[in-house]
Amino acid sequence: MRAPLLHVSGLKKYFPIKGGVLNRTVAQVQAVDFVDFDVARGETLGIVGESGCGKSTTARLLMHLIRPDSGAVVFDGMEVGSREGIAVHDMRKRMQMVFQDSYSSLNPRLPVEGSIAFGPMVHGLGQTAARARARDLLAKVGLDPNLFIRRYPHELSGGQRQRVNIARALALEPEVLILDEAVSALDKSVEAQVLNLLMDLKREFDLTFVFISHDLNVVRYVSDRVLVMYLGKVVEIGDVDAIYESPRHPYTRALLSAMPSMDPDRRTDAPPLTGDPPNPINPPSGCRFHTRCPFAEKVCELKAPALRSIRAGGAQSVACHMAEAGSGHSKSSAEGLPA
Amino acid sequence: MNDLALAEPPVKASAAAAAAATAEPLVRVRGLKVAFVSREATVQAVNGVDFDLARGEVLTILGESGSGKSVTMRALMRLLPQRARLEGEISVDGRDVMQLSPSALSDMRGQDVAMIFQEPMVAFDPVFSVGAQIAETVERHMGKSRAEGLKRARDLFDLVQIPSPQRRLAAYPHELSGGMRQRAMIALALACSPKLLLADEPTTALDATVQIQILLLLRQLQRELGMSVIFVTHDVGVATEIADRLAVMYAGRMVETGTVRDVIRSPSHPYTRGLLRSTVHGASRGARLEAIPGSPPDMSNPPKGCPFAPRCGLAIAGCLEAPPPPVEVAAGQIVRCIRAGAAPA
Repeated sequence: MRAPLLHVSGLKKYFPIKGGVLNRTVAQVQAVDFVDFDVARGETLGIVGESGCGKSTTARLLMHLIRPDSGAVVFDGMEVGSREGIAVHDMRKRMQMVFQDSYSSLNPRLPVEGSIAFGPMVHGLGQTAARARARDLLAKVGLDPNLFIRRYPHELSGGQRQRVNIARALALEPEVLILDEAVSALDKSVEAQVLNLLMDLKREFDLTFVFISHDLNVVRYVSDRVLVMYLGKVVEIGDVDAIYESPRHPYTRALLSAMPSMDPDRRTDAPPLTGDPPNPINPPSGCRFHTRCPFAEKVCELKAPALRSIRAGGAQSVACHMAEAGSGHSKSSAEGLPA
Repeated sequence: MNDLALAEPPVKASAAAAAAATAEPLVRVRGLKVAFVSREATVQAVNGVDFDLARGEVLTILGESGSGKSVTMRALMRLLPQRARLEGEISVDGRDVMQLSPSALSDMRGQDVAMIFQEPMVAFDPVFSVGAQIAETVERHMGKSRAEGLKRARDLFDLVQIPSPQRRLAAYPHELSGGMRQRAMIALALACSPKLLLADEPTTALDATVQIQILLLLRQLQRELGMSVIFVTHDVGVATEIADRLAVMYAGRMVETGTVRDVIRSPSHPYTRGLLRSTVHGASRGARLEAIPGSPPDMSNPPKGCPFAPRCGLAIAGCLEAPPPPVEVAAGQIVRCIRAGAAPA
């Protein structure tokens, strides 16, 4: 197996909450808690989970928009930000990000051309060449350069703005694109257009995607592999078909069965889970899902389960005591939760 | 839970009265037009909407942003800004909403017609406890004392399945989680046993595992209390879970209406078909999505003919001339498209 393009190990980020007269840290939001995963060159890794599970923090940590408390991001064999590795500045030339809010991620005072050409100019491309690239990219994302190059963000629709954001992200000719809920704010008919565009661009430029979304249908459509997060932890990761067809973590299973039915004759009868996800400030002990898990036992409260491979070649890994033989859970076996 | 409904103004009348009532729709809307007028432009948000809503029925209005779905719903309570210009007929429970005085409107809102919103944090007043806000509604509309209002609030919290209700009643909106806040808002809306509940994307801001809980709760309450519900959403899956009847809106018009089964199984309008096809569901990986090209028309200058014609693969010259009349393609399934018969399935 080739070395992964992106290797993440032990990534951790806690956000302190200050309070009291002395402004001491009174609590911590455990946003991302020892997360490990790899992204192979050319694949799309989907990251799913509910709000507060740490998907966006993970994306920002990958880009070094925020510094991790510990852990490492290794890009193409070089550790990001370390002395022997790759500098953050150089990594960002090769990895770019598209955000959910297409309006606030563009400078309102800069016409589209300026926004797209800005990055290449910062990274040393001449003004004329950068402008030519901006025109090229606009055409690539399906906007006529003659019509759009002078427009300001407020003169564009949401779908058009998101296309501009994608063009801007591509302006540095990156290898990896991190898409953080990039299509979530769009209407369905526009979402389909942008998804088609992303798939075309991926093929044309040999891109690798990290695709973050709460929409499980979209993630299934775009991803090769899927990572499921719950309260800062990876609960399950694997090939998209393995995850969607035989989810082994009780949370993955609940999340999938919470998707609204598309069949009027087969509506959902009972909610798979009760209550809301707990607060990531002081998350539950042991397995963080044990407070909502229908299979929880004593061991789940006491001990956090490790992520273990349950299929050959890393096709599926799950962090659940039921998937670890001899873990102390009465239903434990090597395969995990029975289908 | 049922005794709560019975203890309050009778939701279910005698069998004979109920039978007579079902014949007469609860809501009747004809030729509704809503325009927002400003110095620069007049935006025709709703451009001729007709529909009936039977008692005890759930109608879902499905549409994308700017289609006029929320404006249509708000017009039923005349809950629109001053600069909105309304035309057409709206009757709710036999009353002509267009002619109601401001005080009669206030009486109607909350009592006969209640509404729940996408963002409960905005719907609640942040400086009063949720219990006090529900009690206040009961006092205002039903002439009850504060103590009776609080008791009613407690019963309602049981009804919407909020755990440890006594403690939650004393909580301020920011102290509740997203799902609890949404339940509290449903309790507030049900405070006076409304005949009609208007729901404006109430689950859109919620997490997947919470969204399904709220949808199932609404479905259960609607059945138990016999309310009529109009539910506005942009999500086909959510619509499928909750609707009896579905109305698809595009550019200020209902382009297709019918039972949820008919519309989802055999959509007739090219827009409905496009919408269902472009929804990523079970699409195989790598296959291109059949996206609808282009974008919706600018409603400050609505097109003369069918508003969908510029994006429609089946459009002919006739589509551009006049807005298409309603065509009944199957029993109860009405489509505004002159090509509805010709269109291949």
